[in-house]
Amino acid sequence: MSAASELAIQELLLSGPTGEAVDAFIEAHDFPIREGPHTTFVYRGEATSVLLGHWLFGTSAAREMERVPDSDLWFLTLDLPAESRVEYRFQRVRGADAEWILDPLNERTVRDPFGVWSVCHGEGYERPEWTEDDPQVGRGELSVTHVRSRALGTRPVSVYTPFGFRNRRRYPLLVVLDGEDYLRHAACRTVLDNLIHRREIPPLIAAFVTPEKRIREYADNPAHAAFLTSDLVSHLQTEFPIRLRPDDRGLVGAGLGAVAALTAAWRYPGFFGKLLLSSGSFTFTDVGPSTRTALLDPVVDFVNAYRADPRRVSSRVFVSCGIYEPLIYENRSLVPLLRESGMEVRYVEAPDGHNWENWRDRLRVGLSWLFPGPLWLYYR
Amino acid sequence: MATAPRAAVLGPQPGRISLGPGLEALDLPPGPVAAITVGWRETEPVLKEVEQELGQCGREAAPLHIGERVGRVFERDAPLAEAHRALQEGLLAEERLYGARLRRAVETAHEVVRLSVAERYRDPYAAQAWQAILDADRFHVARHAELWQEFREAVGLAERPAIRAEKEELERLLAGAAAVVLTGGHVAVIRNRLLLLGLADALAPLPVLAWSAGAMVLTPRVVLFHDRLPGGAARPEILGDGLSLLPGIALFPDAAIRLDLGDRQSLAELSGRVDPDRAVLLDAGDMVHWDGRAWSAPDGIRLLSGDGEVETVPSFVPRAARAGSLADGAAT
Repeated sequence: MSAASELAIQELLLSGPTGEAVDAFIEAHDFPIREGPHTTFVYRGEATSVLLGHWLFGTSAAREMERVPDSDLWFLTLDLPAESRVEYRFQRVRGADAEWILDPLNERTVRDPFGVWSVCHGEGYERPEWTEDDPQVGRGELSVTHVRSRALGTRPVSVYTPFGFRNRRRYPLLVVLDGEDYLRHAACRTVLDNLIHRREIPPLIAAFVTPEKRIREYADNPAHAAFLTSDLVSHLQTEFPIRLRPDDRGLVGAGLGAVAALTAAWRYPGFFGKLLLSSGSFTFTDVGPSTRTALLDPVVDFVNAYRADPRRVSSRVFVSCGIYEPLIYENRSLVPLLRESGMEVRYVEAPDGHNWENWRDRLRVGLSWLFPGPLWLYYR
Repeated sequence: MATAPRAAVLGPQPGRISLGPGLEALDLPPGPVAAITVGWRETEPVLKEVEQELGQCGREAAPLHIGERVGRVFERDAPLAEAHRALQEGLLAEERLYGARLRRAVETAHEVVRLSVAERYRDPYAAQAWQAILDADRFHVARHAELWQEFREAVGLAERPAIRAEKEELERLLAGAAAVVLTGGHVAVIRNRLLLLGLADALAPLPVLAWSAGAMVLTPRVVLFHDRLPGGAARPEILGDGLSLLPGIALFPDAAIRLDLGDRQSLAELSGRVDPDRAVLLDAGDMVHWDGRAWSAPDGIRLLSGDGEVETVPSFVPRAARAGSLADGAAT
């Protein structure tokens, strides 16, 4: 007997399922059904066809599900590597109507700037405890300051000051692009609270910056780079006790935000001593035409230029990417160039997609590598 | 060099502090027990816990409030505070330079060992590479002590009224104590504050009950280590000389959590870098005892051998002290 035929869905199929058997099957399982490396997605309802839409690069983005004969039960079994996280929806087709829906049998969902998704956790994945609120941990404060910029106008910036903040001390500065999304979808405030409490990173000040016109500002925009390195940091230095050394200054971005971070560092080499680049949209065309939107042409031009002339723009760069992302190729291609330029680079891949929870889950290793805390000085 | 007449070094105290077995082992005369809790910056409830635990053992605590005293010193003596801040900057720069040198030395040593060449060709290079690691450590320890000495001389540390006032009060408290307790915490803070107040001589006659960071600062050499940091293993570094009141040992508390005990090469390096002191591994529930002549433990003492094995011995006598130790100068 093969492994697949031992799966719960195969047992149901072999039993010649009746309506009652399907009811019992639904009652007996949590969905999707996780059986070792096999994950079975299940939908129950009348439809012409049902597709599983997901973010697994390297396989069809929408996979047709199979109907259990003479029933309204649909299923698809995928093999997922251990500790995978997959965000998905079902496309239910009824005649000419097709509709993307959440998995009604799975309560686990995640919200990102593009909406709500069902989430499947592969074998061994647990949400890291350091991403969850801990009542024992002192909470940092968030306040809003307004930064004036000739090029970008006045921008509200959320500033995190750590628990136990004292004006007499000086703190490292972390600038976080797509700041509101990092706070809302990547639990960044909680993560900072927890990592500081554990002494895995030092107490620091974080500025959460949110774009108004994201693609225009983040696609290698000189005005945005000037805003970050001049208007923003100058303003913060007058308002908060921030250390002045570049090694005490970090810039964080994900997706196009990672492009904005690297381009700012490229335009002002050495200004930010630490970069955290998650799933950067580092599209290039020097080995063939890009299929992406023309709005991203400045990104392509930048990455092509960087590939031709890789430069040391920072001292430490943390790069991460999900293995289910289409951007995995671009990120893997970038890493050796960053290293060649003389920067210290750490690269991490995760069995996850292009999403905020992936970026959230990489914050611990990334931040504690870029800004090591005093943990190794403490002996309890 | 003075050493503590008797000492009990406890394993880490991750939950509730337990002092009973240590106090029993020391068999102290009547009198209060001085408490140094500055490792936790005296902001956490550790002092209260120490007081309660001592109270349950029939002992009165004499808290030294080292952190508060240093705060008062800096408030009263702004030029000293400024000079001390400059010293910290210098020490930080020194650590970064040492780290850069050490990184290359360790990488080279590992690369030499990995090369697939006959031992007779490799060994001379391996010896040179190993010596480079030891040289990096020794130079750093010497520079660290020099920076402290320059600071002491520049400010006339021992003669400054703010320092003298606190030191005299502390010496009075210590002279009336039956023993001293040092808790864990931030090892560099404890060491820094004890050096600033020049307390080595006042501590020397007292039996010691200490653990983790508090015990590490009393050994000849303080080693920083953690193989399991979330951002990646930290390469062990020497913080500097300790006060050398606990002779012949280098301490590795929470060894099961903080050390990769399967990495024999790194453990052998660690053992060699603290030689002639012995690398003692401690975990929660452990206790080792110094009777003025030898170290011992009822269940044995876990030591790192020269080839990176963990060996358990019932007792050992410290080897000859390191020649030219800088601790005397650093602790005055």
